[in-house]
Amino acid sequence: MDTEKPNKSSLDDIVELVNDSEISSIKNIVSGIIKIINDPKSTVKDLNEIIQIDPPLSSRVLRLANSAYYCPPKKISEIIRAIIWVGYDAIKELALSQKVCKLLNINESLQGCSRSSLWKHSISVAMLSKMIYRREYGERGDNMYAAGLLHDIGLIILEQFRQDEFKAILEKLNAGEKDIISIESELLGFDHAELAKAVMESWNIPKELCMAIGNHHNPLDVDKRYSRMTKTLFVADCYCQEIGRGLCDCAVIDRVSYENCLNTLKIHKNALNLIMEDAEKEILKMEQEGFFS
Amino acid sequence: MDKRENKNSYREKISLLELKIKHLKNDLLLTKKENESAIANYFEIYSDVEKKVAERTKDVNRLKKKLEQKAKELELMLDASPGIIFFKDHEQIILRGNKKFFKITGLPAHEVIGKRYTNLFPEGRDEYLKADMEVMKKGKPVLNRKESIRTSDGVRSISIDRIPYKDIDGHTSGVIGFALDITDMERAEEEKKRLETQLQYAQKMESIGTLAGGIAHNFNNLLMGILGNSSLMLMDTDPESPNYHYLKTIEQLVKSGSDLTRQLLNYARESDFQIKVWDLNSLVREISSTFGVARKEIVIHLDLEAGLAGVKVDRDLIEQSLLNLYINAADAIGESGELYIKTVRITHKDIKKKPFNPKPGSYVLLTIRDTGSGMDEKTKERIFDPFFTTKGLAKGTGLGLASVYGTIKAHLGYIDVSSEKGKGTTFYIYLPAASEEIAEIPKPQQPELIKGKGVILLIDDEEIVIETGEQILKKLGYTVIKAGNGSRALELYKENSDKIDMVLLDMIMPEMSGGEVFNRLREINPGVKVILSSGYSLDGYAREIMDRGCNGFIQKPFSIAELSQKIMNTL
Repeated sequence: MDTEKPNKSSLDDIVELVNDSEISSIKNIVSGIIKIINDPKSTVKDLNEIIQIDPPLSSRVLRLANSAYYCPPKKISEIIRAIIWVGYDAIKELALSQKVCKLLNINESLQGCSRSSLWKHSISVAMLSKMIYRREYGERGDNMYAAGLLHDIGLIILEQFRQDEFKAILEKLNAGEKDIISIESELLGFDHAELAKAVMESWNIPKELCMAIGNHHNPLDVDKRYSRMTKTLFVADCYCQEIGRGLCDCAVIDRVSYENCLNTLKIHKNALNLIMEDAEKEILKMEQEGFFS
Repeated sequence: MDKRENKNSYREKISLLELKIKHLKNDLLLTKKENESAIANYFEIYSDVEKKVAERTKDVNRLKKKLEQKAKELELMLDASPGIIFFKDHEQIILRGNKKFFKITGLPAHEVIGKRYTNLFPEGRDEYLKADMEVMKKGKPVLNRKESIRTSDGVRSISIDRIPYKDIDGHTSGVIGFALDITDMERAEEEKKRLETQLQYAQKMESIGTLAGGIAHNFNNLLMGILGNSSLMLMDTDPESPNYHYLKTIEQLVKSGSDLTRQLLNYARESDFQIKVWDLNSLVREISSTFGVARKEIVIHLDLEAGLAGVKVDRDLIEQSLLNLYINAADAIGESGELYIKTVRITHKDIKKKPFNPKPGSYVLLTIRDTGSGMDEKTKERIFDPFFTTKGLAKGTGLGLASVYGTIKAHLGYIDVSSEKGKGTTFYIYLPAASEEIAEIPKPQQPELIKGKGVILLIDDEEIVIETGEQILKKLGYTVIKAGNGSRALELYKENSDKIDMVLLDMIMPEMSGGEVFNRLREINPGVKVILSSGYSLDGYAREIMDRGCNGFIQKPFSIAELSQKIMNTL
């Protein structure tokens, strides 16, 4: 199949469609927060500015700050005070999660993959991969968290803008023939990872994240610079799949690559179990806070 | 088997624990780093805040200084203003004022600010409170109100503007007052009005004077006719005859008439002036004695300064004026009373608070005070008006005081009167003191009838004068050649120049004036003897002709005796 040129144009078409659609409503906030994450000079004020203009997000932030868990001495009614009270990092995460959740919620249930599955899967991957960064590498995992949240966004896009093809893809997936990437490439000429990458690039998301998202099914193909993030993402994705926090019930895991990445990253198998325990606790907390509603 | 299993399980446990430790260590280290950076951030923010506070404080101080400076500037401006500026709130509490305002209150600033305006200025408060109310209610200024205000220097007139003071919400919360002290300006206006009135009065007098003069002239001509005819008749009438009495009466009446006209002319200041330096005291004494004899019931007190300077006056006119004043006083007194006459020497500096401004120099002040009925203000204002009299039309001509006024003014003096109804009247006459010596008092002349011989050329445009004049002159023994106008006169003179001894020339004639005729006569005969006659008095014009060589002047109406005297003197 002579797929290069038509792929590109077809891909570009979809990107254009996306950016003209409601999906792009989260663009500003998402790219804004990721920028803040990567700017050492950024302050509470910058975050405040981003949050202020989004009423549902603002109210969510205030609600959190005034919740029993955080228990402020006086009721907090200003975003900036909420950020200071709850924590700069915490609110960054909250905002990202909120926004992407909203996106993943606007779609009807994917055949074979429920809404919450996609959302739960994304947040699990995000949380796990972030914690891997912190506990295995001793580094902050904010960017990783963002990448984790966004990695499967391509599926939502396909479901919205290539409905027929998507249906076909799911059918074939349910039939259990191949992995999703192969099916997509066959039917579309590109896969959901590439699609997501293209959209992220159009949103000026940093290169590292784009590469990780774009190659989260083929981590061995990336450049050394981006390999750690990509491989971590891949590992988290596979692990979640294994423990039932996967995307679809019958997804195929590439064992070989999995083992390879674990070795390269020097992650012990049990480490993931340990980390996931705490990650689950966090996710449970979020559930209780009503994040998934 | 068990041992290996145990070993393996321990190994597993250990490796698990090692993992846990690694994870915890990493997480802790990371959290520690994050906290440290958070604290560092806070410190940075804090020091940033400190810096910002310091900057703000500097800014505030700078602004404070600027504010103080502006406040001082405002204060300087307010104090430099010539106006009175104050600022009070809606309850009349004084919030601010400029220097001039405090000066008015006579109190130091700190005792004024915070006090009620109505307490400091209780007078007229009903009025100004009304204005304040208006400003407060309508929020619009009330301008240019004239008010009086009691200051530490007395009551002053002010023109005051009231401006609403609006606070930041636009509500009127107070009144700003700007006032100018217009007292001096008002006084100047009053003074100006007074001077204008004076000027108008003087102008009125002058125009009346001109009118009067004209009337007098015509009148004199008529009187001339009457007197002449009656005199002629008298000359032929037997004193025993009853007609004699009637004719004498006519003569008297004409004399009265001519007195009247003379007074009118005096008033018009066109008199036959014979200025000499006289001793006012002697004139006063003379008139007083004459008058005293006539009106014995009035006691005259004389207080005359010894060695009084002389006055340059026409004696007859001054005596006439004195007489008029005495008569006036006598009428006011009625049955009996006192008359106080006083003379002093003063300078212009002693003459104060008069409606006139005297020229610098020394004066003789003559005061005539009576204990009569006095005048009210209205009468006093009109007392010098000609034809104004309180005596009723039959008795008063209204010319007495008018002619006195005219006389005094003509002598470059001033006359003033003060009076109070029921208390009496005082006249003040100021005459410039003369520096020259006092002349002798000559004996009064009694004109006698003198007959003579000669040819007289009589020139007059009035028919009646010519006729009468001819008769008179004939009676006196002269031969008369008549001429009704200048050109005829010249013709006649040319023809009879060797025969004509004297010319009696009327000054005012149509076509060719007396002056011109005189010149022409002179041309014909440089030594021609001419007597000028006129219904007017000896004024500048006549004087000029006199200076050119006229031999004499006689004023109409003249009596035969007078005429005869004059002619005799000339020939």
